[in-house]
Amino acid sequence: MVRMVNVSKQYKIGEQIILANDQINFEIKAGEFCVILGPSGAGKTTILNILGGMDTATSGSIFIDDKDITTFNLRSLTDYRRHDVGFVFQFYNLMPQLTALDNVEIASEIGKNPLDAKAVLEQVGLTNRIFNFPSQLSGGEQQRVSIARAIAKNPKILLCDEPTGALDIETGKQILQLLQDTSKKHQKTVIIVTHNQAIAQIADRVISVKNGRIASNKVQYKPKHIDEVIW
Amino acid sequence: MKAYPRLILRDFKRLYKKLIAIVIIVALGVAFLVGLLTTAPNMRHTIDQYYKTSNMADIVVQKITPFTEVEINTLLSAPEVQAGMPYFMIDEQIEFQDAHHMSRIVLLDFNSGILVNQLTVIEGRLPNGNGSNIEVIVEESQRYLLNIPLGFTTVIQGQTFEVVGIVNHPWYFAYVQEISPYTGRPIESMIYADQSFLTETTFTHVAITLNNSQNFNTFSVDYESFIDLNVDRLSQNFPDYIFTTRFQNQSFVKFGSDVQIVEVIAIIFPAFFFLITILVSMSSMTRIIHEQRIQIGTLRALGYSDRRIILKYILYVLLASGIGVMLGIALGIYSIPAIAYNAYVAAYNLPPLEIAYHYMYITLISVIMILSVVSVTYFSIKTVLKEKTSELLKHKAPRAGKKIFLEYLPFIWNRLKFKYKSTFRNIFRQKRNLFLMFIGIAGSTALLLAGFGIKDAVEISGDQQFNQMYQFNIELSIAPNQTNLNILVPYDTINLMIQTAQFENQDYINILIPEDAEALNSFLIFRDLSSKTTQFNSNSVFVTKQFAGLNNVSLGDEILLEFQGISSYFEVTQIIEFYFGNYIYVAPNLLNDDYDLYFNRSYVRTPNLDSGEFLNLVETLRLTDDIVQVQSKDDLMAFFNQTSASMDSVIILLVVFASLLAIIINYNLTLINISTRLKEMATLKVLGYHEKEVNGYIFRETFIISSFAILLGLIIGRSLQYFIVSQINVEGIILKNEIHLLSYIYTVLLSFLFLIVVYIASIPKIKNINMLEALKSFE
Repeated sequence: MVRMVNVSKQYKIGEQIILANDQINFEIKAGEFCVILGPSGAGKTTILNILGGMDTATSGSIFIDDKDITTFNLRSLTDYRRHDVGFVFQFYNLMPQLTALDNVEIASEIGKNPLDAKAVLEQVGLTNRIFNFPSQLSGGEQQRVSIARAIAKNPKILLCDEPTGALDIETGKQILQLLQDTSKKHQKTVIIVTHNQAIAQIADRVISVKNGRIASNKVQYKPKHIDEVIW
Repeated sequence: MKAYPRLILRDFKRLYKKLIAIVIIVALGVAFLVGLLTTAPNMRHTIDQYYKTSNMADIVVQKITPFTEVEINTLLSAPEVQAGMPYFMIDEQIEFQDAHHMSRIVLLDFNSGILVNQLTVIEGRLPNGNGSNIEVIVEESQRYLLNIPLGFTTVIQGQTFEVVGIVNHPWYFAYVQEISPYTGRPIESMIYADQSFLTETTFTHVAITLNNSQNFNTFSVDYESFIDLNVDRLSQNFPDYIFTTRFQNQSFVKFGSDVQIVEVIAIIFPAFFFLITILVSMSSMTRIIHEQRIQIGTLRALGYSDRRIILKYILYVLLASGIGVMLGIALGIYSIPAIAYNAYVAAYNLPPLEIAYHYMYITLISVIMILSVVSVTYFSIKTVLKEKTSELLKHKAPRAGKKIFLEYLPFIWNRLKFKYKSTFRNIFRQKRNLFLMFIGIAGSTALLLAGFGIKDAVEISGDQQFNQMYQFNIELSIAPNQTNLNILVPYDTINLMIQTAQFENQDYINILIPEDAEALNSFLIFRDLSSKTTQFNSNSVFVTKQFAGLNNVSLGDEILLEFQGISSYFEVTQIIEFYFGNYIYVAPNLLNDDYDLYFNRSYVRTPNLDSGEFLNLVETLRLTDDIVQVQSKDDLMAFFNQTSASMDSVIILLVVFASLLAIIINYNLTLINISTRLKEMATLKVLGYHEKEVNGYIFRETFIISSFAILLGLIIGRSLQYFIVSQINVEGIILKNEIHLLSYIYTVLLSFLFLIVVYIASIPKIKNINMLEALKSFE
């Protein structure tokens, strides 16, 4: 369960104060496949950063299974990222000098209860690519490695920042399928931040963000299958 | 202001920290090289200037009988002679603080002016002859000279002498013991007076300067041949005169050899670091240019010519290296020679350091430094500009990973923990940066060990000679054949004859002939060149290693020695290890009956005396009439200790500078490493790596590389020490090529300490990396 209560975030740029998040309130249930939707500059990335423990809120509380992470010190926040959050980046962020397997192990190595790195790579469909370096992989394959890295440490939540942003439509769909499967099979909460409205069609829950506020928070009881989505 | 200059300025503001790093590295490298290269020349220059301003004599002319006025005038009007100053000199006992002391008394003619060997007044004034007492001045006190205060009076032959001034004479600037040639006793004070109190003037010496000698540096080879030539000419016209040149002056010779030692150490040390400096500044500049690819591409897309783009970076690098070079020159010229020079105050009464600018060195070093950094900058922009503009506007894909050789060794690879696997992959990815780090650390380690090693070599040589080989603790010079002294009866004693012999009609060398060949072994433990003890016996002719080396003498050679007017051949039976001084030890039975074998030297061993009793004995021996000179082991070691102390300071200077440079270079490379891998580290932070683990990710490879570098540095350092020690081969000093285990330990500890310093200094940099960097599309 992920719950944000009255979360605000201010940035100071020079003399100017920017309110990136203004009184954000929402709740995402465990195992939900959720999309946070909004145009660029709406404040959705800030939500993701705060939710992922990479940034701190100016005010408000964020509950992850009843624990308020706004009360965490830096070390506990690191532990939170380490054990509870899996991160999928828009630009994959793989270590270029490491093989696919190494890139997954870099996360599973430090996990409390990690999954087997090879098994996870098989699961994301990279059985034959585990000893390849990122430069030898296509964009979609690299994003699969990135997802495998996020899953391997067996986190509660997967946070994905525009996971299809750098991919073509077909590959993007495959990645979304993979994320959806992960959510369903392993009962993981998956939160995707995107500006792409098409993606929202497959979500269990869609949270729209505008000008730093929540514009809507809808549950879709019958989300579309990815193949039905028209981009 | 136009847009392009404005851009240059703007960018400069962004890059200034990186440029300052280049400035500092360039400055230190240049300072180190300029400073050390100019140290020896400046030390020589100072003494050379001192000699010139004080009109130091080129030659002192003596004769068996005093000079007549006609003789002096003839000598002074010789075409070679520029100026001359006749004086009377005698070594006499004077009474000071209730004891007799051997004193050198020089009577000059102050009224006609001191044209040669001008005295520098330290305290008081020169004699003016107005007082009721006879006014005298004394040489400033030092280790071997008494401290006779201003106002001290003494009565000699009914006349009262009063000290009115304390002076320095250019002939005596080193703290070495002068021995009276007439009596063989050490001189304990030097007194100068006007000879007007004498009824009749006599001159025993004439100090002369030669025409054109001011045009030579006194330490140059040219000066040496100039003097040889003039002595030859003068000897033809004045056949029975004795000519003493600066090359027989103890101060001059000792200073020359000490400076030579500095020079050997000084040239080898910085050359290496200069090279590293160039490499690191080049790598920093290349890095800056690669970071600016997109800007270069944008400028190009806007239609700027390659020339103008190149100009911008050339401007930066010229500015950074130019400022660095200037700072380095200033720092190098003014700091290092002064520090090294001041290290010699323990052994010399030195005038203030005179700094010469040595434009040749400075220009050469500046040109090499600036040219290499600028040309690398030029070529790396050229490489960037070779790419298509469209390519430049994209971010360069990170270099592809590759299988590393360790993976082909599955028995090792499969056993490695994951973090080491990734470390090894990183090492192979960061090859260039880590290679520079490797060279830098190996080099500084080598310099540290070599520095400690040279100190060790001096120490070990002293210990070997004075504690291991010498089995006596007093050496006595005794009036010929007066060796059977009652006072020596309770102690172990061996008598020897010391004679100066001419070797193969060329060099002079002291030969020592013991009274009893076998007995000598218990006073002097001889060792052959493989450090094995060798026995001196009735057929032995032992030659010290350095002398043998310089004169190509080998085992079994027949060498011609001439002494007491007789020439004989002696077969060399052993070349022996010997670190200070050169001698030939000859068994007594090898001298034929034509020689007059008498004894004028004794080695004494006093095993049962405590230190108080020993000092009493030395005092008593000093007062014994037939004993000309008493030298305890401490006295024998004094010269060695001085050399060793002044070398220590120079070595400390080198070690400190090398360390500083090592830290800065390493820190800079670490910063480059961090900035190259910013996104990696931000990603690790997002993945939940703790601070220590992120640090480990960066530094594990640094530590592994450094450990190997330190290991290699130890090997190189040992060879470097060996090389330097073998290069230090000044007359009478040869060093044992050994090194203490402790020096290895210190070197390793210090090298790791530097690493830790760099590590600690870089921690905040990593701590401050913002995780949100990980979300950006590029670095």
